[in-house]
Amino acid sequence: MMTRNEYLSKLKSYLSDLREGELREILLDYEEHFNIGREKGKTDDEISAELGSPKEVAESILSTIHTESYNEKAAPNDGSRRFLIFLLLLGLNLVFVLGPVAAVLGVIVGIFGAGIGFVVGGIGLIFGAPFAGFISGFVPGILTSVSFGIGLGALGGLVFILGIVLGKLFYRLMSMYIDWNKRIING
Amino acid sequence: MNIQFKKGVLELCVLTLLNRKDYYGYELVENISGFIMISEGTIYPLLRRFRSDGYVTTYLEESQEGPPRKYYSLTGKGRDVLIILQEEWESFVNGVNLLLRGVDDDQE
Repeated sequence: MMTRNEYLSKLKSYLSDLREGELREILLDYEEHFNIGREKGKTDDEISAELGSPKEVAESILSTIHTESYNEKAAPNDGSRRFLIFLLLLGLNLVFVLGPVAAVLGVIVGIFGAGIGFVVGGIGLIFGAPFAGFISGFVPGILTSVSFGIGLGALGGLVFILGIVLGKLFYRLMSMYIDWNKRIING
Repeated sequence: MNIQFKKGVLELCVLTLLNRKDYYGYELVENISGFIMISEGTIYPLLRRFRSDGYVTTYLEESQEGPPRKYYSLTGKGRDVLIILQEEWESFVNGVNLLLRGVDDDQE
């Protein structure tokens, strides 16, 4: 059996590994408990017997604190793991993905350009045919030029549509790839 | 009694009391030890864990008799946990009672 101060100093000695602020808070709780018990007319012996031995109490405190600090550790570890994956993915993307993606994008832009060029060329042939002779000296038949122009314009339209289809496909693949990256980072 | 089991029951008791009103530590301990045998000193670590898990908040309030007392107040999160623990407890007790009274599986 022991007095309040004996009890508190014993408890303190079992908890010497804790941070000072935390230790002070814990001891304050038990100090308050003793003080109120005294106000209610109990002796220190009675109060310390009801509390349980300082060793038992310290063990119960340490068991909850260990799980807490374990939880606190787990969170930043998870964060740094994610950051590492992010960096790896970034490197992978820069080295292996960025080049091919830019090339494919270039091809698609090129297809659009070709389509537009054909259409413009076709229109030029249709309306320019009557004046062609003035510029180049080569005078094809107007009918030949106009039909060739229409054909070229139609081909341009088809190439343009091909560009749109490829562009959509590319967009879908890219967003799938980006989603996949996000999923990996978020675990 | 099994320590883990006792801990769980103690959690349920503390949350149940705090659902009725705010208590200061001593009062809470006194109320619980009036009903079940515990080492009273183990309730304070439980309260600290409840606070760090966000089940309770604490505040100081002056008392007529002496220094200010630390009161514990249940949060919404604490109330949610209490509801789950209560349900678990009831189905557990019902199961044990059925078993003790010798109700066979095939009677259901």
